[in-house]
Amino acid sequence: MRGLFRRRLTKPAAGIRRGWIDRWILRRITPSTLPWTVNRRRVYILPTRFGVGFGLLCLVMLLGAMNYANSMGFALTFLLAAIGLVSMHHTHAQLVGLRLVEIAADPVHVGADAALRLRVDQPGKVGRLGIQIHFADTPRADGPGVTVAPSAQLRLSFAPGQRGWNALPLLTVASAAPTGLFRAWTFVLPDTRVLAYPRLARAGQSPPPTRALEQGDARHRQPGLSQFAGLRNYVRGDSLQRIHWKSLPKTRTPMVKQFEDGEQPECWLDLALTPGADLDARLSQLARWVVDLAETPVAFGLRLGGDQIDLDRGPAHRHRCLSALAQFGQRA
Amino acid sequence: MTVTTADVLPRALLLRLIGLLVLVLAPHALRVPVWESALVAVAIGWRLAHLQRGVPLPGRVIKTLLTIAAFAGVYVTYGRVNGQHPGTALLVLMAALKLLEMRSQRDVRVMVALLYFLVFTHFLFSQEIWTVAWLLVTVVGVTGLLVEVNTRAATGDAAGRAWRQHWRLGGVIVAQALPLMVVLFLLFPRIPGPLWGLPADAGSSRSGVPDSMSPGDIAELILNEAIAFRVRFEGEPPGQRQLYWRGPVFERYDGRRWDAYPQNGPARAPSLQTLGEPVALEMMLESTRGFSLFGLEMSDPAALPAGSRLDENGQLLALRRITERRLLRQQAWPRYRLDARALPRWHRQRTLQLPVNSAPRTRALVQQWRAETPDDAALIQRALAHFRQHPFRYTLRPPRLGPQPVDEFLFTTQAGFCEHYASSFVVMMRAAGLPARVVIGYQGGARSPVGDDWVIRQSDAHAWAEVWLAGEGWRRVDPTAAVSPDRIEQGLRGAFDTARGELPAFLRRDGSTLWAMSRARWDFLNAQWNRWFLAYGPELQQAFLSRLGVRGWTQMLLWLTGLITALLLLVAAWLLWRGRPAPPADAASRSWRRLQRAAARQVDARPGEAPTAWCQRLADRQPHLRAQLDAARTAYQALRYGPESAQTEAQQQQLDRAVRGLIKALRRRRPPPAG
Repeated sequence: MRGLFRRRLTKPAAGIRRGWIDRWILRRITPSTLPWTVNRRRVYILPTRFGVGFGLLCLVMLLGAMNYANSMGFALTFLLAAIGLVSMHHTHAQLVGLRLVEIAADPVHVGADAALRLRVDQPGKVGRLGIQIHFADTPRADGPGVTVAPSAQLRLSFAPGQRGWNALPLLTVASAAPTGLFRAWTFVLPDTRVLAYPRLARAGQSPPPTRALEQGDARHRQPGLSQFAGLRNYVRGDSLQRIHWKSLPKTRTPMVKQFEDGEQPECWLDLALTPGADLDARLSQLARWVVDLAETPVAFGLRLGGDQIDLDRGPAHRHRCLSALAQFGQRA
Repeated sequence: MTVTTADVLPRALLLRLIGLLVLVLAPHALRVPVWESALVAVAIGWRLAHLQRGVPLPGRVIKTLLTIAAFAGVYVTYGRVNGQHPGTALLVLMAALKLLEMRSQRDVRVMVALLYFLVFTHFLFSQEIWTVAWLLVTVVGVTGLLVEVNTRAATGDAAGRAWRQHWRLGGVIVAQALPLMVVLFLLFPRIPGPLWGLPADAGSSRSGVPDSMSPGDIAELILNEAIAFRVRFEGEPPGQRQLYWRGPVFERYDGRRWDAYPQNGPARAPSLQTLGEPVALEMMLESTRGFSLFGLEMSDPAALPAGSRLDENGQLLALRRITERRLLRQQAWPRYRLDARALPRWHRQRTLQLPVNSAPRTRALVQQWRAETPDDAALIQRALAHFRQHPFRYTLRPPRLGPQPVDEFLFTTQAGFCEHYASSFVVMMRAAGLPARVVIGYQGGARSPVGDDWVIRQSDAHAWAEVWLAGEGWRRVDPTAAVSPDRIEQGLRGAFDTARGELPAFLRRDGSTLWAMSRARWDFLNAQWNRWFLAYGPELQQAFLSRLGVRGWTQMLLWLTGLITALLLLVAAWLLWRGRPAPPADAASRSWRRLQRAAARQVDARPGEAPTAWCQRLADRQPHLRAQLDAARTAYQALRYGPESAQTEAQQQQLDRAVRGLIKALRRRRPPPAG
């Protein structure tokens, strides 16, 4: 576990601009539970490139004022230098006390980007300016950032690397406001995790045959209650047996017979019966079927080794199935 | 998708930036050539037209052409592109041209740096008191712009209002920087002298006593109200008639123009004898960009101001060109003898020289006098009497003089001012065989009604004559005094016939009016400004700091770092205080928070923890407080979550009482003995 953390912590740092400083800082970071408040002692600050230029400008002015023994020149130079020093404290104060309240994300499949919604707030009366949050190992976005007064939501996109629960990488919380002369930043490693469903297999492979009413599972057969409810357009994943062949010459697009509740077609997905090169490929295939079947009225169930998810339909069922696929074999 | 200007830089921000640019460039506009002001106006107008009407901005070709034209224009005007004047002129142009290609946030930052630097360059030309206000206004504005551009996108739709908040923040930052600026100004170690040498055009271009004198040169000066220098006498000031501030001595004459012989060979010390009592004084000399220090006649060679020398003609000269105000301590001997023993042969020849064909009528007249009056002193008196007896008058607008200025002046126009009288008098003396020369400088001065200062203005410029007499040396003769004694005794104002209406406007005011008084106060303020602020350099810094008990560089640096750190800590503390959690709006929550803080050492409040759970944990550690805690909690919960009927004043009082008791109990180290 410790080794995993170390790898996760040091690897992103390799690509960061201020390499050695960050490595020193990273040694002191442990995962934090939200809500997390920026600690004064963990805020680091350095001049930006513009800040360095501003310092050079002050130096040139100082030399000029000295050479011409120009008192007003001295006054302006010292005023600008003082503005630099004061604005350093202002930039520092943008971060101190800022709270990262929560990070929310909807599960996505591996290979897709999860949209993280980060809510930050701050307790003071005056707002925080120009707050930027980005992953420590990716370059920061351009632009001044957002104002937090009293709270704000930021968005980040995160690509999970593996199915199951993904820990978030190190986040940088930074601000260059109000003058852009300095940039203050701090790191947070939220203990929030993002669920990633298995990568979706390519479409094409048909799901196992649906057992429609006529040849349905005995357990679900309830004579007298099966009512033909009409026809609808064919959707991928519909069983061939339910296509209304008689109407095909007339309509040109296949129509599918629909039945009242209780007599719906059903489909069992079983890991053991799924083709694929390895476990992940088979899980991907199952995920594809789950996604496809969830758009049809077919009730489906899932058998994963010893576990079974009963026949059902709806978004919650879909999520249950996909989570099970995501975490299959991960929890001992 | 291409990023358009509007996406990145909102119109309002650009308008504010243009306003600031105009404010910063305004004082420069009075100084740079007209064509440049016009070009800057065109650039600003173009950008405004782009903003308001969507007129396209210039393409790369036009921009390149404009840049080349700017360089060429500056080169043609000034003869070069580096140096103070051309450099500033270029910078002004570059700022205006930058306006035409501003697209991104980065461009605004570059502009901000440019604006700061343009403010700086203005001080190379003018450091009047008003520039302080200008400095503060521009720096607050530019800093506000900097804040705006660094936080702008954050505000989104509310941007219309938000800029005021950002500019206020800029103002706050500047206000907090001001004390630091004062500390840095006073304590930052100043080192003497230029670092890399001053360019020839350093300092502002000022009028002053010229290097040569042709008819009309001094009249321009006399109409100039600018202050030449201020003087403070230690002890009793000499009389007005004694106040001759000696400048260049002109011995060479070409029939029209007077100037000094170039010095060849090593500088000689003057042969000077001093008599009577010396006068000590302190002079604050404005920048003249020349060398003359205008010592009061006659400067003491034994007590010269630092960095000066006295040449053989008795002129006090600076060793380096005067490009800034200088404070000089002088000692002068109103009674003296210069070259009393003998005049060397070459010097005699020089001071007798007259162009062959010049002033024939004058020569004839003087030779006639000479025949009648062999005594030198009597001859001088006779020449002065000539001015008095004939209808000569003093005027600053004399008729133009032709190829024989002296003859025309003496016999035809008979109207002129000091330089005409001095020039013709010296010609007369030379014609009579007496060595004579012209001296220019300032005469008199006005005692300021406020403070002890004497103010000597350019309008006090004067020219007089010196005649060499055997046994006496150079004698000062002021022929203007013969015509207009008031000029010497009452200053310039006395010289004019006010009825003619030719008195310069600034002299027309009566000294007793309110206007004159306020002007005097303003002058006094200026004098203090120059004396203490503008002259604050290595010497003044040392004197000032040692009076405060700060001696030596080590102490100075210690104080500097100490004070800067202390002031920055104050800023940090203020920021921390401002960013603190706001107190809850309702009284019950405030009381509850007080209690939680008092108990923070015992039990830390967990985020989102219910009051009941927190009380339970505290009561576990402090069992003897359980009853009181329950009372407080019940009251708090009734006030916060209970029905409205329960939220009464009495309930609140009960909560406050319980909280007070609890806090007192928590402060006690040990629980009271049971029972």
